[in-house]
Amino acid sequence: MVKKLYKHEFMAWLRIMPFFFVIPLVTAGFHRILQLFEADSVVYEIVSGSTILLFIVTLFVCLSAPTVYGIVRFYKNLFTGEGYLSFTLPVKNTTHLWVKTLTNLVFHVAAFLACIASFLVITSGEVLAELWDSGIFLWKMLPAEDCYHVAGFFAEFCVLMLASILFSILLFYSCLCIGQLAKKNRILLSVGVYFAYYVISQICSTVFMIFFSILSTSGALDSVFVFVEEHPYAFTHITFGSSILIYVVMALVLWLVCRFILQKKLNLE
Amino acid sequence: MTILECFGVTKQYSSVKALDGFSVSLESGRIVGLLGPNGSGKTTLIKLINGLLTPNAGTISICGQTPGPETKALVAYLPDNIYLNTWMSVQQIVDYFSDFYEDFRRELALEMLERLGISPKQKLKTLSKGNKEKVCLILTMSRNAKLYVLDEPIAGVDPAARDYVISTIINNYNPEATVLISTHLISDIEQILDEVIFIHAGKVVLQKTVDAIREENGKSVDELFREVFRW
Repeated sequence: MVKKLYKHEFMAWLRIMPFFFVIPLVTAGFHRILQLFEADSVVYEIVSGSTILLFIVTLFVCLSAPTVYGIVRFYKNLFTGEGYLSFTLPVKNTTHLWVKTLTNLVFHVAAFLACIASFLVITSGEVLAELWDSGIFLWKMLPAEDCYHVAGFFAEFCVLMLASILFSILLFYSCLCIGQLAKKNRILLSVGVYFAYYVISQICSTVFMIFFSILSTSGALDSVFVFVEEHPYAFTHITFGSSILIYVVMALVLWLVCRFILQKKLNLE
Repeated sequence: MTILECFGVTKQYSSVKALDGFSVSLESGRIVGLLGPNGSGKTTLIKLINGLLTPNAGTISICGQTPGPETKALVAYLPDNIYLNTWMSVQQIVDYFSDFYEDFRRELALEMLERLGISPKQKLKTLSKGNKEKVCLILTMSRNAKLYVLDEPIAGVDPAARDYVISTIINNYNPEATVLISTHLISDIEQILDEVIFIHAGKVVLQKTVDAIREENGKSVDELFREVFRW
């Protein structure tokens, strides 16, 4: 049953998403072809500049499309009339949450890969070869021990990206879940909850920064600074690891909020 | 065999009690009318049966199980609003039901749709409101369920369409199953009912067979309803 739910969820996403993945590739290809006819004229400069601008816009659209479609699909499929069908399928309510979250995550990764592919297209030829050579040169400059650390940083960075995407997906879903508890103006309440989260997180980070600067000027963090100087790699690994942990914990809290509302407080129109 | 059993079910929305200690038991092989004025708790009860709400108190049991994925496989539900994904085609929604419900009779659904002149290739968003409602009904009645729960299936449809809805229910339900029909348009549906439950302010006012009402009260269900719920 879960497989079928994934099948239909992917079908719904595949109806929309390929278009957003293809457009940066097309604009990148168009710009690359245009470069083959490079000319020293104003018209060429304008057209070339416009295609670069268009490419940047399409990258932005491609990366934000899964977020926007994920929100629309979650809301429509679960909290409007469609919810009467979704929640009477013989699956647990939390299964919907799993399926929608993981499908959304997959399409976020796909959007990121589409952007990388379009970057490779637009830099193909001499630029890409130069970038590649520079990368190889830098890699060879690193001592063998540092190579492991850099590879580790890359892996940690990828996990951190996945954790932060997961968190942002669940943040939007939890805002929608909380919003539907209201009798009226559910979308408005969802937006309000999101802004409330944003304001609270900004206040928390500001308080943290103030606290941090007070501690560092008072000398209470001197031992930490010494550790950072002596073990820069270990410090970076700890920073990545703790960031991943914070995102995972916050995602778990949001998942529990969504789960509770979908199981106990479902309030269809 | 008891298909549905509710005992002391209470559902409260802030200060309003939609259901207040509601208790009822339904046997298999019967068509039961859930009758009551607007706001009497009919839809709340139906949502509870389908696991769309959770009761504040009391128990609900469908074929001996509390509402959950297992009971959803046994209950065919027709809500009072259209639940179709409008981007799908008729064929896709039939496939969707076929994928999720083991008791779904795909050929029967396609045959009924064909009789209505609805092509499987048609997009659901291109259908009229009336045809969308008919597609919903066909999908529900194409299931070989243990319990059919139909929420206001004839509300807001013209008399000819009402006949279509009633004949679709009669001709396609599993005879061993129970059909629970919620409505306040009693005269249209009275002839197919075996039993009625009158509900008011979240409580059972009366549960009787239609024959008993006619024999004991000397009235039709519609007449008795008007008498019980007179302002």
